[in-house]
Amino acid sequence: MNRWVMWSGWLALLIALPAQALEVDREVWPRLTLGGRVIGTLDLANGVSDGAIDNGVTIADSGLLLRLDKRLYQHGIGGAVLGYEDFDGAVRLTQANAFYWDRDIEVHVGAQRLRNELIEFPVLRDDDVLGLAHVGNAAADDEYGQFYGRLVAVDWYVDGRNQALDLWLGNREQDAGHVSAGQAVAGFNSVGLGYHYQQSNDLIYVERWRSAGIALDAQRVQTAAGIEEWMAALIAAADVNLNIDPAASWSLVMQAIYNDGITHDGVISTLSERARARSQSWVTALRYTARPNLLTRWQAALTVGYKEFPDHSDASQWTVIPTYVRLLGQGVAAVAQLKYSGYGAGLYQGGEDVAVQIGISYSLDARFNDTIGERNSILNLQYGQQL
Amino acid sequence: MTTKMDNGTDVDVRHDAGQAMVGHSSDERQLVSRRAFLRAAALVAGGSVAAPALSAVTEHAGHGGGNYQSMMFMPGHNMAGQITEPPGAPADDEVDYQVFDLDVRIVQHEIVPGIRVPMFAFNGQVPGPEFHVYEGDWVKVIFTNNTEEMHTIHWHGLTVPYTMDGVPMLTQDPVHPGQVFVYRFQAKPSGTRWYHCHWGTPLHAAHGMHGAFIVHRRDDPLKKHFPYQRDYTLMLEAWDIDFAREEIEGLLRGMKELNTLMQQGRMDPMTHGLFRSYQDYLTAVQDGRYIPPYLQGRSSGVPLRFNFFGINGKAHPAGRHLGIRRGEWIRVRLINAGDVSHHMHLHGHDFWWVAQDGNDLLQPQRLNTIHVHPGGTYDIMIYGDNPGYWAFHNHATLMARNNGVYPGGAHAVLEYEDFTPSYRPTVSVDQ
Repeated sequence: MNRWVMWSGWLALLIALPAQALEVDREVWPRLTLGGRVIGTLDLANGVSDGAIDNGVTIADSGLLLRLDKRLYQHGIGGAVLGYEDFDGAVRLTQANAFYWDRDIEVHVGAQRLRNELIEFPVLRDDDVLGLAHVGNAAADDEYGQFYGRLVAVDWYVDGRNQALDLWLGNREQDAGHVSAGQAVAGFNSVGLGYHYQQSNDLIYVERWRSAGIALDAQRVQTAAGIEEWMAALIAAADVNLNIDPAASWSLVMQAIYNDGITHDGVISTLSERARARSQSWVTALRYTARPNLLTRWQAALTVGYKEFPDHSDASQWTVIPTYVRLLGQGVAAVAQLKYSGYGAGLYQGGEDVAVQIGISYSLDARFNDTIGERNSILNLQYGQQL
Repeated sequence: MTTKMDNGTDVDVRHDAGQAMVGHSSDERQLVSRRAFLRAAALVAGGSVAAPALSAVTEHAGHGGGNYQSMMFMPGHNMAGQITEPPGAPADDEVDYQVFDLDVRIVQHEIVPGIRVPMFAFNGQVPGPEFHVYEGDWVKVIFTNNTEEMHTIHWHGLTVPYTMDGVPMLTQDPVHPGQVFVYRFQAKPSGTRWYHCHWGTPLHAAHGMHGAFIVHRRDDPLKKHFPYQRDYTLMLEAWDIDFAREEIEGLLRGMKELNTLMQQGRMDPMTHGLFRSYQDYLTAVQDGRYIPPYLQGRSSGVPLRFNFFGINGKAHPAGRHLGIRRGEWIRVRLINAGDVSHHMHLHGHDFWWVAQDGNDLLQPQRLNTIHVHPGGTYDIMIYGDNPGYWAFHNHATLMARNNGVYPGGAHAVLEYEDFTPSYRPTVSVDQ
């Protein structure tokens, strides 16, 4: 045993030494991108669900992202992302991934956003549509586990521009504190593939399609009987401009999820239990953005969502969320939102959640030493800028 | 290389200094001859005639020009496909114009191997084509905007009619995407002049849209004292390649939105930052209807950090050599097309500074370092009396670097063509 430990130590040293000897060129500064947001809201709420908002002041969804990257010797860009986010008082390291990209491919390895959604809705916080707009985690009940995991994600841009085939493999969080004993799965528990179209951010007001996609997201879960099974969900989404008017833009956001689940008669009291149940949901939002003189001043949106669990009697949910954001300056906004969710008798005894939120948000997107540009820039997509 | 002028006269000048100095890539400078321009113009015209949108021709030069005024405040104005011929110069049948065709497009210009930068470029090259005409010639430049951004051409140092001076919203509307604008003027006075875009000048002109405009005299008095046979034009440049990339990206984003509004007939001049008067502007800011771009963050924006410097679009070692022979005078025309001064020092020789801003000095000065400031042109004469290879470089040595690495930047070599070297130059890029 001692000999094995000794040889293991030497082997580890031999591996570690060359890694330490690799140069980190101090003369080549990376590009540094600081992104993030602090959103503070005063919440007046009354609800029955486990996701209901409480009365008080919340900073949930506030977070900071740091991206460091640089041009590589011959081709492409390499770097890393670190990110922290607040989940109702618990700050978690959400992103810690290294990446490579060029015109044709993006590869991210590490902690990152799960690919269990295709689109972002115009609500104040991600968890405003939690359960409706995301494929749930069948092995975790906390909010972090619904959005983040450790993945190898590859996006192959088949046209070198906007259209990608996506493949990911990795691990969703398995929260031992919330998952029933015996439900954890060893090894990879998540895999998926999809196709998405993503318009350049610089063109979202002048092109018809902002984004669209379809994806198959699978989780390997252990049933109560101790059998491991794959559970699959199908996601389809589109974000389309109803008019082409960069000064007064109307757009429609839609996403639908069909989750085949693995249990058809279990309880659906927690997030993970609902994730295991067969369900279908859709969310759509109508968004108006006012940009007089092409400077965004305010945005109003009405988001509506519906979800049902067909194997359970009257287990359904309606959600309506009107949202208003007024920019007071670049990145600084006054925000207001009303969130209503009503449940069928099979969920929360047919109760309802109501919340009014008013607050301020500050968003940051600052770049230093930008020697690179972005993959989805106009120059890159339309003028063939060399990366 | 000695090239005859296209009109058949026998001026023995080296018209295309760029061919000697740089030009070993597809974007190399080309000799601008009337014949070549005419061929290009004919092609453009052929396409133009076929396009219905081009049937709209605004006021013709020399036809009075009573209705020539800004279109920018007309509701729903859309200049794409228009041919604008401003008043102020004789009509085509009144004088014998030399006709040139010029356009602007976005290119990926290579400064040195491995560094390609998006640039607005005249005829797809940086610098733009070099004009050679005689003093008194009538010049007609048919300028086509093949980008999504606005542009003009300012004829720097030429005494053109004010309607041809190319200052947007002061002497003309900017040339819109897809629009053709016809500049007409008489080439005067003689000397080393240049041209550049005057819209968004820090990006457009300094980072690509510049070119030499040489007005020759048939009886050049300098030749009596400095009998040169060849002349070279060196356009001195300074680039922040990251600024260029991000600024063009921002312009493209903004212009795609503006052009969308324009095509829909809904372009509001204020959206484009245009006001009929200063009072209108002041009122719009004071009552909150307009938020000036410089006000939005109360910041000065991202500072430029010039990281590449060049001559004729190329940084050392991508530039070419200046050829000279023993006993020969050569003329070197230095034009600063960028935003920083270049302090050009020639090794192994003194030279004679003979002209500034195109005008001959009353008394030439003997120097070996000449300070070339932004916008200025400086002509020097070099006599070949010390065979060898001689550095001619910016002696503000922080600018003799490529991305902070010495040597690089604005660095040329004076090379004697008629001697046997004992030491041959090689290429050094990291000292």
